[in-house]
This record gives sequence, C-alpha cells and structure tokens, in this order.
Amino acid sequence: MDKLLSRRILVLSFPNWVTDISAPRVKQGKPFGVYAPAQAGLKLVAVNEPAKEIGLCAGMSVVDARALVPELELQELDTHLIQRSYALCARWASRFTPWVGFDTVPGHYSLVMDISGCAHLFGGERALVEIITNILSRRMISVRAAIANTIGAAWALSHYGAYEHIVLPVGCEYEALLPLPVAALRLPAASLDLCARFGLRQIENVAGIERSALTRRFGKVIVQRLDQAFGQLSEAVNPVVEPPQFRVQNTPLHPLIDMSQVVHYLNDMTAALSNLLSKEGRGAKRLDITLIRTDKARLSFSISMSQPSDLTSHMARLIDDRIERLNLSLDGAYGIDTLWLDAPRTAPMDMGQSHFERIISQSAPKIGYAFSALCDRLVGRLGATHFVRLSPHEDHVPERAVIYQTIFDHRPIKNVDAHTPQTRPILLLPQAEVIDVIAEIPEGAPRRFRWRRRLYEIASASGPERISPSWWRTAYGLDVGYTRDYFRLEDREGHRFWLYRDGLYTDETHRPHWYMHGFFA
Amino acid sequence: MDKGLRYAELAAMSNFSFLQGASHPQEIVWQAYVLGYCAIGIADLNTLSGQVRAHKAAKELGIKFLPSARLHTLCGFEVIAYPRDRSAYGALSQTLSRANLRGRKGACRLELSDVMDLATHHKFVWLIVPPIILSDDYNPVPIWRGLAQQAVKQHGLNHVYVLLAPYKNGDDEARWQCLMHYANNALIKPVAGSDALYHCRERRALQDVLTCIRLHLKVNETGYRLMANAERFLYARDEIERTYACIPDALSNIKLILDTCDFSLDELAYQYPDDSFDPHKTPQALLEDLTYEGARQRFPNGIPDKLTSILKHELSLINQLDYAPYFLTVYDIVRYARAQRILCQGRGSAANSAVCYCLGITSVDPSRLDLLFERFVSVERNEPPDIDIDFENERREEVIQYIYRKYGRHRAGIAATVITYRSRSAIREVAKVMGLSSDIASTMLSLNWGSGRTPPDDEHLRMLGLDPDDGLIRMVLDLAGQLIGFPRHLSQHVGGFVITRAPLDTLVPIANAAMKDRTFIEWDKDDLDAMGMLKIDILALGMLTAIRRSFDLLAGHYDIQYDLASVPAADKAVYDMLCRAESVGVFQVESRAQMNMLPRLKPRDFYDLVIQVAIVRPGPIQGDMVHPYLRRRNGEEIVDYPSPELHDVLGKTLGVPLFQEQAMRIAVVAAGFTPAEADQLRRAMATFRKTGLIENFATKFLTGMQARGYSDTFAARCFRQIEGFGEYGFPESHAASFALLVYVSAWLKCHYPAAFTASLLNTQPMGFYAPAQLVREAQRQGVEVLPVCVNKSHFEADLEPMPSGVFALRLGLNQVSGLQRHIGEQIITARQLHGFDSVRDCARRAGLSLSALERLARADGFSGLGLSRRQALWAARSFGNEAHIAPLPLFAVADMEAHADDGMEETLPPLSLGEEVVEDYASLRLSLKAHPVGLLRQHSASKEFGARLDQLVHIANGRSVRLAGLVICRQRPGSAQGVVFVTLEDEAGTANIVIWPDCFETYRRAVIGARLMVVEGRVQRQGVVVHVVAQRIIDRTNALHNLLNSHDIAQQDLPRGLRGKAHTGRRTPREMPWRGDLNTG
Repeated sequence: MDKLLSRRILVLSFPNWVTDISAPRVKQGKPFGVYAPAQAGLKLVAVNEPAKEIGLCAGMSVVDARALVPELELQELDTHLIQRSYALCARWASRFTPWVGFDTVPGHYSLVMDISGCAHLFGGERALVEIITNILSRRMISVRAAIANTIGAAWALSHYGAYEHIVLPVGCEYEALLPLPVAALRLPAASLDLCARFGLRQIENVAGIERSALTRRFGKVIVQRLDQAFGQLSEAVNPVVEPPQFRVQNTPLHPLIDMSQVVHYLNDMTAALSNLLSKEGRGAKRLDITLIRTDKARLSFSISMSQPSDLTSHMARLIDDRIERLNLSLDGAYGIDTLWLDAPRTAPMDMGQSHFERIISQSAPKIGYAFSALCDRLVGRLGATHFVRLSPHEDHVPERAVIYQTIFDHRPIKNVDAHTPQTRPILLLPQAEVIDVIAEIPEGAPRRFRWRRRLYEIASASGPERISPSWWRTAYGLDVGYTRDYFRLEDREGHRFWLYRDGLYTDETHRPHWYMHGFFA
Repeated sequence: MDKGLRYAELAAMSNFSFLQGASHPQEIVWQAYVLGYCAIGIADLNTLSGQVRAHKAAKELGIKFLPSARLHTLCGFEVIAYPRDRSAYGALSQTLSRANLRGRKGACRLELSDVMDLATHHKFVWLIVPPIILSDDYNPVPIWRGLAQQAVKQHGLNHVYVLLAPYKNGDDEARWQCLMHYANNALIKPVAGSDALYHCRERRALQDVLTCIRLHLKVNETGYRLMANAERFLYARDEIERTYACIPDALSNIKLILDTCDFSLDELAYQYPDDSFDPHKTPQALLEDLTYEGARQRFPNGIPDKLTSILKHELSLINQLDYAPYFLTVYDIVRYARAQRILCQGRGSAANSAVCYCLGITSVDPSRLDLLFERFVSVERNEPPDIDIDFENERREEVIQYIYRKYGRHRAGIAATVITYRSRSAIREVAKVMGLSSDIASTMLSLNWGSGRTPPDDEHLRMLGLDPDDGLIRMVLDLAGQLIGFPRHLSQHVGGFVITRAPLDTLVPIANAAMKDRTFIEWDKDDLDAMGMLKIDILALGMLTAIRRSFDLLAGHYDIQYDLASVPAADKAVYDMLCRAESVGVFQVESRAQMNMLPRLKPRDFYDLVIQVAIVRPGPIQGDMVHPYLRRRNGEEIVDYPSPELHDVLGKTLGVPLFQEQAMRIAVVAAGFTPAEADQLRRAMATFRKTGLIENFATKFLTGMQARGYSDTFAARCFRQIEGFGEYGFPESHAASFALLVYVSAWLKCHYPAAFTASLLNTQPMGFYAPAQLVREAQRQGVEVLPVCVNKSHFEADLEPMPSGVFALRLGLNQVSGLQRHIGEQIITARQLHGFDSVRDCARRAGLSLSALERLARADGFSGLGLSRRQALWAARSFGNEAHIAPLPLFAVADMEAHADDGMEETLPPLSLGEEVVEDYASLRLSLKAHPVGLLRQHSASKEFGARLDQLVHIANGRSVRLAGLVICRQRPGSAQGVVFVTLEDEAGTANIVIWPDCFETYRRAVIGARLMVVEGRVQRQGVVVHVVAQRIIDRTNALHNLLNSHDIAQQDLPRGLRGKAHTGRRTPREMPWRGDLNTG
C-alpha cells in the first residue's frame, strides 16, 4: 500500500465553538449570539443553532438581530477566552496522540490529529471517536468527527459529511468525497465564488475537469487540494507546540511520615526546578506545591513571588517559611508518597552579570534583588494583603491621590503629567478632623482655629485651592461630598497646616465645616 | 448699571470653541445680562463662527458685545484680539482665513508672526491669556514686549493687556504677582476676567465630558487632565469685587478696554456684487431692460396687459428695496447655465415672480397660477429675497466653478452648516465617556427622543429593558440632553453661495472643506440672514438631469426640440394618466402616499398639481387639512370661510390652508401676529431647540384666534399645521416650481416612455424606485426593453429603432454593476468597424482587463454572441489572472489563442431560469427574463402564492385575499402612529399592504426580515385606491433560495435588487427629498 495512505487522520470539527464556549449554560433551544464591535456598530460574530433556525446569522448587526428576535440573548466576544479554550482543547486532545494541530482554514475551529498507530490503545478507531465525542458532548461542545487517510478527506467529511461521526475505510476517499460540496476542499472564498459562477457545486464536478483548464482559471489551489484529499500529495499535521513546563516530581521509596523529611525532599526538588528554569533563562513567579498522601488525599499550596527568581536558596526558604506557618502535621496513618513542585507562572530573568558585579563591588549585592527577596519573605509570613506599598494615583481629591497596591500588583502607574496639583503636605491625616475656625465669610482664609483643644493664631495664609467633587462618582451611587477650599496656613510659631472648608457658602451649605487635613514640614 | 462696578467678562469661550466651551453663545450673553454686566466678549479659538449668534442675542438684550477671536498660535501663545474698527476686523478675518487655508479641514495653522503683523498694522486691543500653570522656564516678556511695542508704535499706549483669571488652584495670588511682574517689564496692564468656558457652574460636568471626548478618554481615567474645580463660569459681581480686592487695577482696566473698543458687527455693511453689468446703466435700469426683453421673447405676440402691470409693480418694489443687483446676479448665473445647456429652475419666495419668469430664472408662467407677489419681498421685513436654483445634479459643479471663476474665491464662498450633536451622536459620545457597556449604549441609541430635548420617559426606558432609576443611565441621559444641539464642527452647506462686492474674507474667515478645491465661510445661513447677506442656493436635482437627457433623446431620435417652458401645457392625456396613479418615475408624485392621493384629488390643471405636491406633507397631514380639502373638492362639503378676512388667504384652496405661507398669513390676519412675529414663529418651529418659545407662541396664537371669534378646533388645527410646516412644509412657490417638473416629467412619461425610462436609468440613483421597477413600468406601457449586449449597447441606456418603426429601449453598459465609463467607451470604440465575434476578440480589441470581462460575462453581456454567462465567464477566465490582457506580446497572443477554447465550456451545467434571474438581479439590478415571483408561482403546484396582484382590482371590498410579492419598500412614517406600509411587487403589478401595530407585533420578524412576503388579509377600497389590510404575514424569503437550487449562496448574499429598499426609519429620506433646503427661505 502507498506509504502516504497508511496514515490515519482524525479531524474534530466544532461547528459552534464560539457560542458553545461563550455561554455553555444558555438554556437549550434559546437563541443566543455573540457579538463584537465592528466599524458600523455591533455585529454578531456567531449564533447558536436555535438562532440560526430563526434566521439569524453571523455578520448581522445587533440592532437588526434584536429587532427580529427581541428575546435574543447576547454576549460580547471574548477572543481571549475563545483562543485559550481552543489551545486547552488541543492540549487535552494530545492525550490521544502527540500529533495534534489546529485547523489552517480561517474561521473554522477544528483539530487535526494524526492518529496513525494510536487508535488501538483506545479500543480501535470507532471507540476512540466515541470516547472523544462523549467527553466533549458532556461539556456541551458540539462536535463532528471523521477519520480518513488524508487530512483533506477527514476535514471534508467532518465539516460537510452527512454523518456526525464517520470512520472512512482505507481507499474510499473517492466515493465519499465526490458528492460533497466544493467548499469541502478547503478553498479560499474567491475560488468558491468562482466555482459557484461556473455552476461547479460538488467535488465531482471539479474532479471531472481537465487539470490544466482548472489551473488556468483557478490557479493551483483546486488541483492541490484535490490531490491532498485523495492522497496524491502529502500534507503534514502541524502539531501544536506546548510551552516548556517547569515541573518536578519526586516519588520517595517509602512514604514520608515526618514533615522535616518532606522539607528535605522539597529542597532537593527546588534545586532541580532551578536548573530547569535557568536553562530557559526564566524565573518562577509562582510555585505550586502538591503533596499526595498514600490514601490519594491531596495537600497543596502556592507561593507567589514579586520578582521572577531561579535561586534555589530563595525558593527553598520561601517553602520552608510557608510550611512552618501552615504548621502542617502528618497524620501518622498515612505518609506522603508523591511530591510535585510546579512553576506555572514564569517570566524571563534579568540576565545581568550578577555574579561578576558581586565580585566587583564586594559588599553590595544587588539591592533590588535583596529587596524583592525580603518582600517575598514578608508576604510569606504576613500574607499578601497585609503587605502593601503606596502608589501615586491621579485624582484631584487628596485622599484618593494615593492608592495601596500589593507587591504583586504590577499595574503600571501612569506618569503623572504636567498638570500635577499644587503643593501637597508631607503628612496627610488618615481622616480629616473637624475643627473650629474663625474666618471671613464667605470665602476668606482662616484667622485662627482650634484643633485638639489648642488654639492656633494664623500668621500667614495662602489659597484657596478649590477642589470640586468628582461628579461622575454619583452615577455609581458613591457619595461625593461638597466642594472644598484648601488653605495653606502658618501659625505664629511656624507650624504649617493644610486645612479646608467643606462646601461653598450658600451655594452648597449654610454652615460649612472646617477640617484639618495635613501638615507641612 | 450701578455706580460702583462696571464689570464685563471679556474672555469667555462658547461652544464654537469645539469640545472646549460648554455653553451656547446665546446662553453666555443671557447670563451676562442677568448678572448685570455692562458688556460681554466671546472669543472662540481661532474662529469667528459663533460671533453672529452672540451679536444677535446681545442686540436683542441691549447689552454691548465685543466681537473678537482668541488667537492660539502654533507655538502656544494665546491672545484675544478685539478689533477697534472695520478694517481691523477685516484684517483679523483675513488672517484667520490665511491660517485656515494653510491646514486641512478644521485645523487653523496660525503663526506668531501673523499676530505680530496684525498688531503692527491694525487697530486692535490685545488681551494676552497666559497659561494656567506657569512652568519654571516660562518667560513671556520678549513676546509680550514685542507685541506691546508693535501696538504702541501704531496707536499709542494702553492697547495690550494681560488676563488675570482666578483659577482657584491654590496659588492665584502668587501667579498674579508673577504675571504682574512680567507685565510691568513689558509695559502692559492687568485685566480681570474669569476665562469662562461655561455660563454657569452647573455646566462643569458637560465641560468635563467634552474634554473627555476631545482626548478620547473615559471620565474615570482622566486623572489630572480634567480641571479640579468648576470656576470657569461668569462670576456674580460681588464675587468679582471680592476676588480682585487686592488688584483694583485689574477691574478698572476693563473700562479702558470697553471705552476703546466700540466696533460692532453691525458695521459690516453687506454690498451686492455689481460687476458683470453694463457700466453705463444703473442696475435697476439694466434689470428693467432685461426683464422687458425677456418678456418680449416669452410672448412674441405681445405682452399681456396683466403681465405688464405685474412687472411694473414688481420692478418698482425691487427699485424701492434696491434689490436689482441681486436679481442680476441670479440672472447671470442662470444665463451661464443656459449657455452651457444645463437645465435649471428657480424656486424660493422670490423665484415665482413675473420678473424671474421673464429673466428665465423659472419656467412657471405666472399666468398659470396666481401668486401673491407682495409676499416675496416685504418692505417691513428688510431681509434679502430668497431664490434657490436647482441644476442638473451631474453638472452643478460646472456652475459652481463658474461662480468661483467669475467672482474669485476671495469674493464667493459656500456657507457653512453647523453640524450639531443629535440625540444619537450625543448618547454615543456620552456613553463612551461614562464607560457604559457597549450593549446598553447601543440599546440607548434606539431611544426615541422625539424632536425635543426632553429625555425619554421612564416607561419608554423600561420597555427597552433599561432601569430608569440607575444613576449611570440617568446621568448619561441628562448629559446627552445637554449636549444635543451643541455644534460639533462646521461643514459646507449643500449649495448656499455667498457673493460679495468686497473681498469675502474681510467679512468672515474662510476655511478648507473636506472636499478638494472647496472652501466655505464660517457662518451658516442663519448668521448670513442676520447679517443681511446675499445667499443663493445652487442646488442639485437629479430629475433635471433626467429631463435634460429625455430632451436630448427626443432631439436625437425624434428630431424634436423642447425645453421646460415649451413642453405643451394642459395635455389631457397627461392628467388622465396621473389620475390613474400611473406615476412611477414621475417627479415628486411617485411615492406611495402621493399615488394614493392622485386618484382622490384627480388633478386636472396645473394648479391642482401645485396642491398635489404640497398636500402630501407632514404639515397638512398633521393639521388634518387633507380630508376637508378632498371633501370640498369633491363637493361633499360646502366651501365656506371661517371669516371674510380669511377668504383672501384661503380662496384658492377652498378655505383649507395647505401652504406654509397661508399658515403664516393666518397667524397675521386671524391671530394678530405681526409679519415679523409670524416669521419668528416659523423659525422657532424649524429649530426645535427653543421649545419654551413655541409654548409662548402657541398661547398667543390660540388666544389671538379665539379673540377674533374663530372656533377652538379650527385654531388648534391651524397651529398643529404650523408645527408640521416648521420643518416639512411646502411654501406655494416651491410647490409651483416643483409642479412644473411634475408636469414635464409626467408629460415625458406619457408620450415618450422609452426615452423617459432610459433617462431615469441613466440618472440612477434617484427617485423612489429601483431600475427593476422602472423597467417593468416601461414594459407595462408597451415599451420593448432589450438586454445589455457588448455589440449593441451604448454606455448609457438608449433608444434603438425596431423594424416596426417604433423605438425600443436598449439597456446600457452602465447598467452592469461596477463597469466604469472609460471601459464602456473602450468597448464602443473598438467595435466601431465590426462587432466582436468572441470573448477573446472582445478582450483583445477593446483591451479589457479580466475584471471588466468578468463583469460583462456576469451581466450576460455576451448573450448576443450565443454564449451563456457561464460559458462567457469560462472563456474570460482562461486568460488567467493577468490584470490587463492587451496589448500582448506576439507569443503570448499565440499562447492565449491556443488555450482560449478548450471545449470544456460545453460541459458546464446550464443555468436554470431561476438562477439566471438571480444573477440578473445581482449584476444588473433587474431581469428581463422573468419575475422571481412569477417563476415561483409556476414551480409551486399549490396556491401558496395566491392571487396575482393585477387581479386585486377585481376583488370586492372586504373580501379576504392571499397575495405574494417581493418587498420593494417598507415604511413606518412618523405621522402614522406605528402603522407599517409595505409595497409588494409581482410579475403583474404592485400592491399596497397596510399593517396595523398589533399585526406588526405578531409578525414582526416577517415584516422586517422578509424579502419575499406572503400576505393574507382583507381588501379595502376607497374609490379606485385599493389596500390590503394584513391579517397574517409569512416570510417566504427562503423560496427565493429555491430558485438557486443551491446552498452556496447564504441568505445575506441575495443580490441587492432582490432585497428592495427597506425603510424602517421614522421618516423616509426618499419621500421627503430636499427637505433641508426648503427651510432656507
């Protein structure tokens, strides 16, 4: 038999991938669509079967679709989710064969799998198809499957064949494919259009025409696709390349019954992980540790790091700290028989010549690194939410001009541009305090005020700096308060204060309160 | 004004500083007046476009207004220039024009040297606006001193100032000190002012939204880019006094400026252009000579006495108001068009005068109707007369270029149109800024705001699934409501030309339009009206092109010459045809509503056509004037008049007001309005913004009429009608001009249907019907229509003599979609010697590209050669993918010939008739082979498609009927309370379907979606008008797919021609063409 024909290809096609993934729980039989913003308003990008039956289709504008079907359920397209699920699905499928590739035809979601020599592991081709489709159907993903000798044939049958699942015996491509529409040949839109104009509807119409005549009118594409489908031209599956995995497993000879043994093992494993990481020039940003007991019970925890790291000592220390804090104890009855150490999130390491630098400046190791190591340890001890830093935040209202960020929060801080507000005090009270003030009505600066039972006589004042409330916050039901007039004051002894009057006189309130808000150096 | 403080804000910005100012100019002036300011200056960024509005408002309130512009140079220097005399104003305007013309549309590239130049040569007062934050390296002294020295050199001291504004950002005093220091160094003085961006504090939110729109930001992402407070408004005077207590000079200097600047926009005396006329005669004498000369030509057998007396009267009125140059200017333009054989027709209040008829500006014989001439120019309303001229749409550009050539771009310009935020655009922008999710935003876009600014009520919101209590939704609606009516940018008016004697750019700045070689001035038509400037609307009208083409065909094939005025009048056959409602293709009266009216109104003479044109408009419909008029006309109701004084007004229309000017006359005669008030009322209606104003007028109108003894219902009806007229009414003079085109086009259709249809096809897109319907109508009239053929067709549809001696209509190559004119011409040149004998022959001799060949093949253009469209395409495609086939090198030719006919084309499956029809629609938008519905009827054995539509006339009133047809139009007019009208077409005729709201709700999907509709309903008959009131509607669009026997073509790929024109909107643009232009009067 021809060598090419000896391969077996399984194509899984997902006719409703986008809608299946976007809303797996939409009620059966209810019309549902996924939309995305386009140039002229929102457009449907995919609809489910019930919606198709009503007459909706991808490409329709949302307004039109709503007019036709007021009860239509809609969801915005989440490209990221769709693509991630697609990749996950491919990864999942690789448990059946290592050769899993994505569909190369734009707009189609399907997986091309080379299952030559694999099927018998799952009880034969039919059984394999059944296993796969059963699992996917349980997950509410509609799937069609076809096994044939060529990618072209399997693709055609899975997309346009009469049956949802088909296993095509060797050598039957001609009979199976000839009645299918020409679109089953994976042709570009322009060629399909031309086929329709010539009245060439089925593959048999095309296959009957002299090849040189076809090539002159369509270019090479049809002839090439025909040859591929019938096995006269080879075509390979492009397997999905998995990103490198950083994962270490250890199975001790005897179950570990003492926690200190576990720590010891983990320390060894960190060294192995560190090796893996530094080979790829990457550092771990998160470690997942999983301990499996002999009774299959799992015990797992994660550690996040503020900077990527591949240092054995650092990782080991974090793990030690955590285990100490978790205060894990092992039930005497069961020991640990498997340990996993996994770095699911990594980032490229800063490839500085750290060692070299250290030699040059003997005493000073890299401050940045030491600091992040400290942060990681503190987080390990205190918990991520208890260890925060202050970051500037653009907001006119002073107490909101600063936000607390955890050290893992790497949202970029926007550059504060030229319109920065006026001088701000170095110390801001956590809560502005009500004070008694004597000031000129309506808008004058304070002359004297009493704060915490002491009277302060003002020597000089400047201001006001008027800050109006962020009016749009009311839309979200937030209280915005009044307009504030801030004054910078200095008393006779040289103390400098920042206080404000809350509310415009008569416009907003008749008895505005005064508040102490901060101090200058 | 009290003795203490004479305060004026001199540095306000209005919303004509686009996306910066947050108040209308009028609002700022109002507020200044309310606060007791003695003057107000509004200076917008590098533009004078808001000045007239502010000037007008200030004049009404009696507050001083300082015209000015805020000059912002490319280097960032900002200064406000107040011209002190006419020449300075002119120079300012010229400088802005120059800067505008340097950049693309909307960008003004002003250099610092421009400002310095102005300061050197002209009398200005300058007010420098320093930046809000003085950076450390800010040192303006050299520039300030330079400006001060330039100004001083020419005009002495005290003409340059610096603005000290209280921004209240904490260091006002320090900032002022610093600026005072600079100012002292530069020998200039401080002035107080709040640098206002809005008239009151409450507009801050809107200003923030505008800033966000400008910066493309969401409001919660803006950080420090929004202002921290709301201080950029007009301050009350006590607040001003308090703020500037430390620098009293800043306040007292205001007076210095006010005393120096007393230039007013009123000094811009507009002058009519006077060139191109005989220098030895006065314009008036020249006009009189030309008029009588024209009259002698119009009436070679002697001028009727009546006309002479009318002419005398009109000419004396023109003389009195000194309008002769205006008429001469219009005459000159029309004369040019005549010389170029461009059809044109004047309309507008002044156009239907006898003078205009004699000058050839219109072709409506004034003796054919009896217009009140007094009305077109009134002595008391000193407004320029109004003449719009319609030209053939394809040749209007020639006329425009003539005007530019003749008067120069410095003297002729197109008026601006201020593009404002409408409810949809306002909601879209505000929703984006407020971060509303896109699906809620798109739901809100479908909200119906009516014509006012009041947001939709809660009930309406709930219906759309929006929560009226949601704070965010409320805020978006509220802000959008404020934003509606704000100017967004300036654009060019459709055709309003301003021509001046002095250079135009000394009156108003000129700017580049988006269109190449087009410039427009910064004022719109209302501004021009207010300034008393001459505007002539040079408009484009497709029907004129079609009529000219028909006249050309008549001259070419029948050897008979006609023009608009010489078409035989009062032709019985024409009126008979119109009474039968056979008006497809006829100007104005071809719409469904007009077709319904024709058999009821039964027009028998020219004035009936005038009424016919005017009556099917929202004005008379809303005013419920249609039925009374019809009843009176048919003698079913006594013609009486509410009062003797109204007899004069309503005499011609049987006591029922139908025209816009009648409604206005009623306001004067019966409600006691002054003519000026009546005109204000009409304007208030047209611009929906001034809702409050309308209320006042309503009360005044109704009480006025009651006081004079009219019935309440009549008064209310009259007022409703005025409301309708505001935007969509027809004045009698417009109707008369249009009626002439109705008559001429109907005459052509009646006597020369082949030529008329050919002209309409060549003038597409226009009118109400698609080519398929036009051709079918011609066939119904007995015209033979021949298909497109590479060997026979001209580029345009043309007449072809048949052996029988009559002319058939041959479709042109222009019918082939996507085929350009030059390709058509290549084909026609190449086949001159002898016709093509194969696709290859055609490709080679005409030098066609593959895509052109394919287009011809798809359009079945080779059928004359015995090739089906598939065979032709197969042959065309054999040339491969080369972009261009000829001229080919020798070997390539040989190679090509070897391949061209491979014999395979015989094996291609033939197209079924259904496929042929669909393909015809796809590439020609019509099919001569069969009607899709007829085909389906043949195929389906059952009676699914019911009766043929031409049988409808035989079915008795009230009987049930089943019909099917292609949907050729769908309407839901705003005046019809949710009723949907659908027109169906089958192989035999058309039918009107009426769908009541409850039926619409039930069959919503089918009504909106169906291209092929099956309707079950009852026949409703009113005289000869037949409707079918739908009871059940079935969408059978999928049956059209059966024609294709294929799944290849998805639903949305049905060719355009089969889809029909879907009008689901509130109003159909096609039913109300030119509505924007009708308000220019």
